[in-house]
Amino acid sequence: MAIEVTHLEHIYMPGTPFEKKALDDVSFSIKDGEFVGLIGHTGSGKSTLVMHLNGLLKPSSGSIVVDGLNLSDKDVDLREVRKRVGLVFQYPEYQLFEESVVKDVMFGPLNLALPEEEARVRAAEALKMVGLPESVYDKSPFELSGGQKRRAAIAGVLAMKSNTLILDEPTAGLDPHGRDEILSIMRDIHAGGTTLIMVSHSMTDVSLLCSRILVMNHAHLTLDGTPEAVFSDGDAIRAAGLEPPPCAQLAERLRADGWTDIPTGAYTKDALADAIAASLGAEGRTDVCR
Amino acid sequence: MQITIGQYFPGRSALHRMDPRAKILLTIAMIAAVFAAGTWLGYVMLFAFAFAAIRISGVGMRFVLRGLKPIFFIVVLTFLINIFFTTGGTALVHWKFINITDKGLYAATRMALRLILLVLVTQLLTLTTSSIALTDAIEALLKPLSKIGFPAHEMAMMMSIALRFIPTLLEETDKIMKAQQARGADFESGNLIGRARAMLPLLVPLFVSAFRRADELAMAMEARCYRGGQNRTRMKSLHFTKLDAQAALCVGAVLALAVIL
Amino acid sequence: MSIISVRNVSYQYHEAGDQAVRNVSFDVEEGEFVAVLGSNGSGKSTLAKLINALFIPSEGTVTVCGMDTRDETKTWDVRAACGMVFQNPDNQIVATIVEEDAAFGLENLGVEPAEIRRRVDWALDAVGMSDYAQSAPHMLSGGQKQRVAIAGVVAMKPRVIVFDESTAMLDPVGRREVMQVVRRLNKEEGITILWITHFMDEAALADRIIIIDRGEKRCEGAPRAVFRQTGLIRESALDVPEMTALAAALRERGVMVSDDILTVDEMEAALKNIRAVR
Repeated sequence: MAIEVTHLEHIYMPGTPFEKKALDDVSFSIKDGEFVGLIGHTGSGKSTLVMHLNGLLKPSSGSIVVDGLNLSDKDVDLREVRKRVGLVFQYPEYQLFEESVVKDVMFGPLNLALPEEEARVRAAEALKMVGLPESVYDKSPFELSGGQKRRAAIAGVLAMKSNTLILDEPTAGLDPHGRDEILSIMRDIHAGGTTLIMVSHSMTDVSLLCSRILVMNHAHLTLDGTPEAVFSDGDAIRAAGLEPPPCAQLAERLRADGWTDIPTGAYTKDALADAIAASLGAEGRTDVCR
Repeated sequence: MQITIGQYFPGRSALHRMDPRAKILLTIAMIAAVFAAGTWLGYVMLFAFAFAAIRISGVGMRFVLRGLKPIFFIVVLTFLINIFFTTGGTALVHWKFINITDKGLYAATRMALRLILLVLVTQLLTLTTSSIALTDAIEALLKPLSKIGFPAHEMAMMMSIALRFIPTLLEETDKIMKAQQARGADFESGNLIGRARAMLPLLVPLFVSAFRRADELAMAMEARCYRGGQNRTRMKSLHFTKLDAQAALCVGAVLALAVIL
Repeated sequence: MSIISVRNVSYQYHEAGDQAVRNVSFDVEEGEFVAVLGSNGSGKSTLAKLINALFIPSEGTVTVCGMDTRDETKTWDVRAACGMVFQNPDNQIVATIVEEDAAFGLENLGVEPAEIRRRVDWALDAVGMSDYAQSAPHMLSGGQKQRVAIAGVVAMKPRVIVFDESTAMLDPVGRREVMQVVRRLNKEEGITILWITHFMDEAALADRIIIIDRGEKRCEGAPRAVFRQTGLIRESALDVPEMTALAAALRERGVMVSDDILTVDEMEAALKNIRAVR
């Protein structure tokens, strides 16, 4: 079991007029090698949750165990935590600071007290993984394009080689092309054996990649299941202030219109197209309708 | 981030409704009163006045007192410096090199009380006055100086923008710090030089972002036809009212008492 | 006469540098809602800033409400007639109180205090932010901040508003809030909208789409006509709306729905029709 969260609760600024419960009785576990999508509207508690998984926030109550290491332990070695779980923040390009790209990526490994040589090797591996060519290694990170900066920043966390990697809104602000690049990098990272958690409010991104979806709403974990199961519960998704992806919406409506043979799991474009074609038995038809 | 100094606390109290120019001038008068006061009775009266004003302002006492937290260290430090380094008077404690005299204790207490009063009084100004009103008032008060080339409007604008962006930058600092901690950065341990160097991963992104924000803000201001102070009007023009006269008389009385007592 | 007229415009940031915008021409009519669609670095934001004289064309002319943006005596009139809302909600709010920020532009124009008050109240109401008139901007959500920024522009009673990727940093809820406000301003107040974006579903709501790629205009037309050109759209590093892509997938499987479907509603209706025919 990679991550085990039980009855996690977090209260911001306890005892002040600004007191706010950000997480309330959240329990779940994630197995090694899973690809989990964490969705929820702004302020639902999803960012607070991932900061707990990386030891940046301490729970008010409840426990988090990562690969046998209890993060709620007061004197837990944070370096050990960060070896296990990497966290890429939203708009990570805003944390670049070194004079060259490669030095910036080496920052994490060096903080893990790795020797310079090893850090450099890891940086090169990570940069290769995110598709940045050697010609940019010695450039200032501030000279890169927006999409390249994002990838360099992701490499900075990748180089720490944690078993679990969490990305908070990795595609925010990117155009479709940039988004596809990041999503394919994430696919590669997952294929390499890393457990991945992607925080997102893009249902489409989550539906394309994840094998499991967690939905947060008002500090609670309200849904937990496969994309098929989660997307077929349109009402619960809307209750969490979100919209199912367009294909799932269409499938839901068609079923309501009496297309009972459209399966609830048809939430991707191709799966839904197959289901509709099968339902109509439409081979060879050419009539155009709108 | 729990910094309340300089943060506006919206409300409709008498203090909120006063003319900001009057508030600035009266705050200066109060500062003078704090320095003029020399007796215990004087301090008691000033504290009573300050607490009464806080009461009227409708800003919670706890909120105001929390604003004192950041200066707590400074108060303690000045207290200790005064108590240990004032010479003369009767010795109260004499142990090895430590020498505390009644004069020292008196001076130290006085200094600490003054500091607390200063913060209370000035905080009351910023808590009840929006930064825009504050800068309008500063601009209006400094306007006579613009005749001799003093950039009154520009200064006021700069102040207002600085105040507007303090919460944003605090939030950003927190975010960058967390992001670098996730990469294993350590801002807490190490010696002084080590810690200063450890701040680089925080400071570089923070300044890069501040410059980017400044660029974008400048462009947004230009797009909304900002071209300096000339021919500008204001939605809320400043008017002295009966309220300001009443406040002025109260502060005048306090100042007089502080001098006499 | 068109309210915005862009004629053979090129722009380069540095003398020796590449042209960020190359020989672009188009017109926008009063009351239209036009989307300019392009990927990051396509030059669409540069184009936005050329419309209200924040940038002056290196070549060609931009005319707004009959005023040439190169005419320096008209700069402030151009900006008053053509407001602009930017991407980052944090970096365009000047004041520490919502209503003071809404007043900022009018104060710069030297409008009478009583009139400022009236227009600020009206503008905050128009974007649904009246309840937050006394709030501090940093306490608001992204969508709310962006609506405050819109109020600040709307109060100046511009005839055109340029939105430079104003939803790019918002969550879905914020995006929807802003879109609703903007569409209402277009329909009810008759304000001409130039909407710069890389979100296809937003562009699909426009009357007309202009696609910009690597500084050049690639095509222009009604959303349906534009999204039908899948090849060109992919070349421009963009994507078609999901329902349009589904329509293509269905046609490959012999379900001949129209190839210019944009929304879930349209797709549902089309499939119902097909089923009814059988």
